[in-house]
Amino acid sequence: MAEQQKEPLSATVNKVLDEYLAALHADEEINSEAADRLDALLRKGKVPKFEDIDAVLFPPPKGTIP
Amino acid sequence: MICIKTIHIEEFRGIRTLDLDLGGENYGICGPNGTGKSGVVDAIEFCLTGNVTRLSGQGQGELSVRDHAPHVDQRENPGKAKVTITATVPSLGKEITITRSVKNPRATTITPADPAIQAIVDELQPHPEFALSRREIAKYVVTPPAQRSTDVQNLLRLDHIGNLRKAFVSYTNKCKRDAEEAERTRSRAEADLKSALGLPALDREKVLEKANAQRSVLGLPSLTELTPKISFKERAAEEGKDAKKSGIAKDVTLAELTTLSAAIQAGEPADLKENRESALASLKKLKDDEKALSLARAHGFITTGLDLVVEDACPLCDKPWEADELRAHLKAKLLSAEEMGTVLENLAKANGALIGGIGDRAAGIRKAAGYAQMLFPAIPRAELDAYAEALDDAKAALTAFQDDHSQIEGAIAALEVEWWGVPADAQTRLDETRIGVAALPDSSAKDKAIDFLAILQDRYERLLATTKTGRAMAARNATAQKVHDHYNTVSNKVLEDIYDAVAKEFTEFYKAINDDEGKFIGELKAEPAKLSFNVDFYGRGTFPPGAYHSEGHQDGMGVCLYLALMKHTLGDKFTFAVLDDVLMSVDTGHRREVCRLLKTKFPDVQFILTTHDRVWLQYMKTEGLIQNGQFFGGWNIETGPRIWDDTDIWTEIQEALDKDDVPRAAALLRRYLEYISAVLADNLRAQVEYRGDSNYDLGDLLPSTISRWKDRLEKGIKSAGRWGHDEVKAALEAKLAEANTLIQKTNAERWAINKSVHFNEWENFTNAEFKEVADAFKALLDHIRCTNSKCGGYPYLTPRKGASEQLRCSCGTININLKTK
Ligand SMILES: Nc1ncnc2c1ncn2[C@@H]1O[C@H](COP(=O)(O)OP(=O)(O)OP(=O)(O)O)[C@@H](O)[C@H]1O
Ligand SMILES: [Mg+2]
Ligand SMILES: [Zn+2]
Ligand SMILES: [Zn+2]
Repeated sequence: MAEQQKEPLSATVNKVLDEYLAALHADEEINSEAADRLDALLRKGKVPKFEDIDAVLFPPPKGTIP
Repeated sequence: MICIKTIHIEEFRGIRTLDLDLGGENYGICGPNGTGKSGVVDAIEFCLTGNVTRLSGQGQGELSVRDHAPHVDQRENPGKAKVTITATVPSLGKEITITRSVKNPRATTITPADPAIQAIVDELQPHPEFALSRREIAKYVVTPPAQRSTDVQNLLRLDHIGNLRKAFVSYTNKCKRDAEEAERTRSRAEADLKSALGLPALDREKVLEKANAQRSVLGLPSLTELTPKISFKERAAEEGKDAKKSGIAKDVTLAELTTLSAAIQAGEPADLKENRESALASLKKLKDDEKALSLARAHGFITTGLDLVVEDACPLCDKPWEADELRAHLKAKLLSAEEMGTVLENLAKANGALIGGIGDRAAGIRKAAGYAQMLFPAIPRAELDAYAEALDDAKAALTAFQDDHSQIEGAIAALEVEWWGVPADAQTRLDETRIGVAALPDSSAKDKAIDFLAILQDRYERLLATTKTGRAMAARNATAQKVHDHYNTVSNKVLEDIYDAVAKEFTEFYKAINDDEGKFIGELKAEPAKLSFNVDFYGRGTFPPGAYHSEGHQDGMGVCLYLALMKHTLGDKFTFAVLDDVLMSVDTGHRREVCRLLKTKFPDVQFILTTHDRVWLQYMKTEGLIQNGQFFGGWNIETGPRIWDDTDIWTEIQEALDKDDVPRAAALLRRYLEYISAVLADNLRAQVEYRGDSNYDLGDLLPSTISRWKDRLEKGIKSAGRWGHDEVKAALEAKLAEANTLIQKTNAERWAINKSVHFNEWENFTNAEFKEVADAFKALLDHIRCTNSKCGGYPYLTPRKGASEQLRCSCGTININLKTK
């Protein structure tokens, strides 16, 4: 377990995240893979930084060297 | 969460050593004031969280767990103060043991050492809300809305939702700023291209026309199509010959420097002036407001805490203040949240325009500095760079404010400087540069054409690149905005739903315990950073609970809101709660309803309840809310609470008799009977001479209770006869006969007429005489209570008022119909 001792997500937070993911998927303008990655990020239970959100929404295209 | 099986306490608070066996069931702890009930509650909290709110909570500055949790005689030995809890974890189906010592409150010994169990214990640590004391009820009811919002969100474990929202806000803000900056860079590149071409607007045909005109000077073929890959200067270099060129395209450069000069001459651009003035005014207003806010913050309440300013002193530090004055001051200065939103939005727009304008000027100056450097001999650029840097600083100050609204001073300072005025030394360098460029020899038409095409190429490519970045940034901004909007919509909806559901549940609970208040409603309304809680008052509207409701009712609401919140937050993880003296505040008329509420609505929650009222404890038993409990019969500093076990009383009396200590045995019996007859008098609604001070002695209570018992049996016989239930009738007649015999043996009915058998005389009885009396009472009580060993409860009448219809025990084994029609 890399993340030590984070509080497990409460039912309410999970509920928000569930509905959030559904809303993202329902939005055709949002790439659904990006939505899944964002969901996974938010469920880590930590507060994401700018770079974290940016990286899941706009990953560098495969095969490019950053 | 967990269910507690046993608690072992050593040298903790007022307790020396104590073992309680809860068996994972609801449990009552009853005892007069100062006998150690809260000590048990504190021990539970300490064992599970390492903390004692009573000692470390708000306003307990002088107190600490380390210094004051150990028994006072062990204050130098915190290691001796420890608590061990054994519990089951229903979700894992496991049994665990948790031990904690005051010496090292951060460390727990948990067996078995299992990460899943550790996680469950860790989960309790930051959330001591499983224990609610009477004084904490106010936290949910009469607390100011801003504080309630924090408390409730904390209880509901919603802080993470707010934190994610903040993360999205800052992500979106940065995306927006990046997009704006990218657009400014793009538009600068466009302006540069236009100025190189000398065109007021970009148009494919015209661009090609201009390019081809110069290409024809060089004898190059015309370009026919404007593509992203186009090469305007294709083969142009081959035509060039002059190796010693300055690198400055005289015409274009001169045109640019002239434009820059004209802009400087014109002074502050009208649109930017307007933006600057409005931004400055808003910032100053905010700054003033911030002063008011920090004044408020110094007193420990937050932006929306106006509600607090009703007392003459700060409720937190007792510093006196002119309530009206401060209130008026805050009211006058404090913008409403909505106004604040509009102000900030307008500020963002104005600042954006200013950042753009200042950036344009800085870019122009830097370009001029570049030309200055390229001249022979070079003109020093330092003054120009210094001006550009000053412009950068102003821009940075505005950006910083957009990032963090507390950076207000810097933004104001930046806007108070006349950025459009070029410092004299820089102006000199600009003039020198212009003269220097003008003095450059006119190049040949061919060279001009080569320069022109090179610049055109460079600027065209830059426009393409910046346009591409600009589009990408705009797209990212749009996505960020959407992702953020979705989050806001979803989380707002979920929160509103939660508050609605909690309010509904609260209402239901509150109605259940006050069945007279049929139209009662409670509302929870979330506003930014505050959560208002309003309840109905006799159909006159909804108001904060503290406005009109009595304190007892407010306490009842506190319990209901607490339960609704816990139920909603933890769902089926709500397995355990400690209510310290909390139910005492529920008015006596509604106790049974409260018991029923806890029992029926929370069948899977283990409640540990303390009260100093033994009748209350008995209510809990007769209602089947608790099966077991502990009665604390007294307390002293040497030994801690004096355990008084319901069933052990007879053993204790026997032990006294074995030591031939009749006075002690007599005192024990008398106190026990006082306790039990109070309970029975209440259960059976015995007719007792009323005393305003409620100070009933055994002589007041027991004889009338006994005769009431007989009377109710007679009533049962009558009813059975009336309905033709002959077997029941016969059984009850036998019961009544048994009652008469047993009662006679106790002599209780003769206390009033025969002084020598009065309970006051017991201590003068011989051992044998007293033993007879004690046995008689034991037999009588056994005769009254339920024979089901799992129940063992005393019967009670239902309903509580009016004609009694039934005499029953909580398990239903005793079930005597009293209705005769
Ligand atoms: N650290 C300590 N060392 C010794 N005695 C203590 C300590 N802390 C509390 N006490 C005493 O222990 C006794 C029991 O206190 P506790 O607060 O548990 O009573 P209680 O039963 O909850 O009473 P109440 O009904 O008034 O709330 C009190 O007499 C109190 O003064
Ligand atoms: Mg107490
Ligand atoms: Zn104060
Ligand atoms: Zn029973």
